[in-house]
Amino acid sequence: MVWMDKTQLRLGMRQVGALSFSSFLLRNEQSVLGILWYLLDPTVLFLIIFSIFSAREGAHIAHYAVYLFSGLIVYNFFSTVIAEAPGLMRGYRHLLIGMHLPIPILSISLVLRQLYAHIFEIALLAVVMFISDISLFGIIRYLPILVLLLCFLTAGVYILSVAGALIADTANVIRFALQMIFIGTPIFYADIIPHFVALLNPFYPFLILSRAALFNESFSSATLFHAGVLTLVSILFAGVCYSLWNSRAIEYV
Amino acid sequence: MCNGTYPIIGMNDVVKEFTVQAGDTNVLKTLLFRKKREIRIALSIPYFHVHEGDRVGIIGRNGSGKSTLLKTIAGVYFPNQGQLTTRGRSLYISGYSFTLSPNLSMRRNVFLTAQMFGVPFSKISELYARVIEFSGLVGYDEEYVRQFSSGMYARLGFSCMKEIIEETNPGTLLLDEAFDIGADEAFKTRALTWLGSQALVGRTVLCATHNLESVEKNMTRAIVLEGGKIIFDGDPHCAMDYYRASISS
Repeated sequence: MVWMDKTQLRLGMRQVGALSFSSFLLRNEQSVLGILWYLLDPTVLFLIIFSIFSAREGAHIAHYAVYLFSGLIVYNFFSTVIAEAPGLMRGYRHLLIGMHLPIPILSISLVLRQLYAHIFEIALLAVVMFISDISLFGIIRYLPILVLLLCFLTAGVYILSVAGALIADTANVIRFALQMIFIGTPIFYADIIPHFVALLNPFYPFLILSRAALFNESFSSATLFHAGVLTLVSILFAGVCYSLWNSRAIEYV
Repeated sequence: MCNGTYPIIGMNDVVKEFTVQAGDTNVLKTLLFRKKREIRIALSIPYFHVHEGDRVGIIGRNGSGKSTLLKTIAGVYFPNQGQLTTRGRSLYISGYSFTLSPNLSMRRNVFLTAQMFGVPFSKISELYARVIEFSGLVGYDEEYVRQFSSGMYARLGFSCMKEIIEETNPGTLLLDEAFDIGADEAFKTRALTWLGSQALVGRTVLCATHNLESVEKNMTRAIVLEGGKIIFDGDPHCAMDYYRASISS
């Protein structure tokens, strides 16, 4: 168990809140565009990909703008969190050692920090949906999928942050994997992914479920099951990591 | 000092090992050539008990295991062998300025530090006012800490930690380099006076430091570490003599 009593839980929540908010502010402190930088990445990518692929892919994908933008913002959320995970412990070494900050606190605060940015992305998506005449109720339907994704990412970040402390190559492997995931997920093209590729792609079920929610379509039970199993397995594996390596990982940072 | 009750900190046959991570070893070499990684024993403590109210100074040369001992007691490191027991609430602090972020303003830094140590949000404004008063850094609220001098940095860091200790009121203080303040003499005197008269009194304290004078003045007991082992445990004055003799020999 990470926390055993109410006092520790309250302390943990304060630490998560303080860390996530301060790192959210720090990222763009003193920059001219400030928090708009969080939106620039998916927006510029959207404009480039839309201009190239809208004629071809947009021909057989309804509301291609929303299809593409929703894929990009969910991928941006996923990839930013996963990419930063391996270097998390080294980046916060001073807190881990200086005040004995628990590693799970860092994992949760990273996910939360990126969630603040994702909220802005969702707001922009709502504008795109409104312009494309798609019901905004999809945003509400997206929230439970987001919660599932948050659970998966929190466990994943913990596993990767411990792995990153123990094995220096983790960051390189993750960088490569994220490139493959971007190409191997139907973010900017129609869903023609072979079944075995979809099974190996941890981002795939979350993207499909997100789109189904946003477009007010029914959820595929197979995809829901896939996402659920991935989340459960990642949480269990994070628990195993915690019991085996949590106490040792700090010595390698 | 032993008052017959259970110790606040109890170490029995505790050993702490580290894997030596030399520059020319890597995971691939270790896996392919079954290269054995070197182990270094950083701590080997057959018996070390601290009772309530003890103020223990930990002294020793660089690399003797002072910080490792404190970190092991604080739970940052876990012993590889032996038994370590602790009772009550402790606060571990390694230096005073480690929570300060250079790219945040002084106000945001104090708020962040207070929240990281669990101070309720409703009390942080008052805590901030006390930090300003003690540090003397009036009028610097919105300035980025990276623009501070090293002395101002040290004053802010110490003042923050002072208020954190007073606000959270831990039963046990684990301080690494507590007496190395790094500010001007006037502030150092004020800080050391506070440390000696308020922070350390009424608490169980373990403090690793190179400031021998402060150990003699403020501590009720001192241990000397060498090579991860306790080579002396007793009266601070005798500990100083023993330590100085071991250095000169």
